[in-house]
Amino acid sequence: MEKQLAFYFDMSACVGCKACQVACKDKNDLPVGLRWRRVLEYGGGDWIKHPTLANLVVPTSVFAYAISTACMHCQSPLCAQICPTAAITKRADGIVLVNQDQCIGCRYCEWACPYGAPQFNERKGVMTKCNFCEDLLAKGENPVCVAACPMRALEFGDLAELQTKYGKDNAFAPWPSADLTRPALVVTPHKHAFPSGKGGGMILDPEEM
Amino acid sequence: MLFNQIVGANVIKDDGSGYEKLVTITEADIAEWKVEGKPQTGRISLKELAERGIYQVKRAPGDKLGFISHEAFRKDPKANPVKTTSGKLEIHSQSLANLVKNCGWNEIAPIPKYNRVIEGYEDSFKDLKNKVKGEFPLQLYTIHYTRRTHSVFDNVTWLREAFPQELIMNPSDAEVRGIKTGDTVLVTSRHGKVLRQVFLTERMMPEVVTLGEGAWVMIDEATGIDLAGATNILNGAIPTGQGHYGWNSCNVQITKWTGKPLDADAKWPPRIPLKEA
Repeated sequence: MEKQLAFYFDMSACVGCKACQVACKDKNDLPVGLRWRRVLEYGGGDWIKHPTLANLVVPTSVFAYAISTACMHCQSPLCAQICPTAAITKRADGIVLVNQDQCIGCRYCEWACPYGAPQFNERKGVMTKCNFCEDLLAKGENPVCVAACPMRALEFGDLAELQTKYGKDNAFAPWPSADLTRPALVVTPHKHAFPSGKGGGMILDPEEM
Repeated sequence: MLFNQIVGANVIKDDGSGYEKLVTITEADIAEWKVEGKPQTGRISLKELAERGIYQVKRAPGDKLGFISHEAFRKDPKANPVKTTSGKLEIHSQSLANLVKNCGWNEIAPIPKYNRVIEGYEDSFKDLKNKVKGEFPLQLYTIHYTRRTHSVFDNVTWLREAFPQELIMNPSDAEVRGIKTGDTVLVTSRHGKVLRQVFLTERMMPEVVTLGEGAWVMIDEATGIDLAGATNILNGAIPTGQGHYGWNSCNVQITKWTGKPLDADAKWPPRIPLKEA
C-alpha cells in the first residue's frame, strides 16, 4: 500500500470538551446515538483515611484522562474481514468505507470492531462509520474533527509521516492492543496513560461506548 | 471580524517597554482570507497562529516583563502610603468589615478567618462534635457545566447527548447507597428535589457531590420533583454580602430512585422557547 491515512491524537492536550464529537455530528447530520467520533473518560484511583487527622480522607493516585476515538482506519480492519457481503472495503489511501447499498445491517462489524467504530443506523437499517471526511479531503480541507479541536489535539496525515513526527505509540488503555487490527493511529500519551491491557482505571462513562 | 481581531492582536515587547504586533500578515494572506486590509509585520505568521491556536509569551528569570504591585509603597511605605485608613496593607481591616456589614446581608470579621458557611460542611452533621451526620449528609456544590453557558444552549440535542447533566459523586458514597453509574437518583435538599443520572469518579471528594447549574427546569406536576436537575430547585435563597454565596451550594441526601428511570436528556423532545411562547 502506497499510502495509509491516519489520525494523530495528542492525549496529553485533550481536555475532553467533545468539540470533535459535536462537529462530526453536525457535519454528518448524525441522529442521537450515532457518534462516529466520541470522547471517553478513563480514570481511577482511590481515597484513604488521613494517617493522623481523624475524619479526613486524602486522594491517592487519583487520575483521569480523555480519549477521542473514531474509526482507526486499521491496516488489518476486522470489520472488513468479517463483513459477509463485502460492503466494507479499504481504499488505496487507507480509508475504510461502508457501502450502504451493499450492507444488509447484520451488525457483525459492530461486534468485531474493538474500537466501536461501525455504528448501526436504526432508521436506515445499515451500518455507518467515520469516512475520514473523504469529501472534505477531496476539496483539500481537513476532517471536521481535526478542524474543530480547540486544543489542536487532533491531526491527520500519512501514517508513516505522522510516525516520523510523533513516534509509533498507539496502544493505551482503554483501547485494545494494536496487534489486533493495526490501527492507523499515532498517540502522544497523557502523563497518567496506561498501556493497553494494563489499565489501572475504568471507563467512567460506559454509555459513551 | 476574526481577521480584525488578529490584526489588532498585540504582544508585549521583550524589553517590556510597550507592545508590538503579534501576527505577520502578507498580501497573500489577505487574498486567501478574502478580506480588506494592509500587510503588517509581527512575531509569528498567520499560518503559525492558525496551526498552533495559541501564542505564549516566553518568560525567564530576570526578564523585563515582571510587574511589582505597589512598588512605590514597598520601597518607601511612609512616603507612599496606600489608600487605607492606616495607610498600610491591612491584615486587620475594620473598613472592609464595615463595608460588608453596611451592605446589610451578613457580617465578616475584620481579620481573615474561617467563615462558617450556611448549609456547608458543618450543617451536614446532626451532631458536629461527635461527627454524626444529619438528614442531608452530603455537600452539593454547583459548577459551570460543559453543556451550556449558564442556561444558554441547554436545549441543543447534540450537546445534551455529549454532556448528560449527570450528578457527579464518589464511588464510595454510591456504594453505601447501592447506586451504580447511570442509575437514576433522587437528590433531596432542604429546599427541593430533583432526579438525575449518576456519574461516578474518584475525582470527586467523598461526601461531596456536584451538579451543573443552569438546566431548564422540568417539574413533574404529579410529584413536584424537577426532572431536569436544575440546581436552583435544590439551593435556598440565602442572601450573603460577601464570601460564600448561599445560592450556590447546599446539603443534600441522595437515594436510589425506585420509580421509572429517567430517559437520557438527549431523548427528551426538544424545547423551543419561541414556539412555546
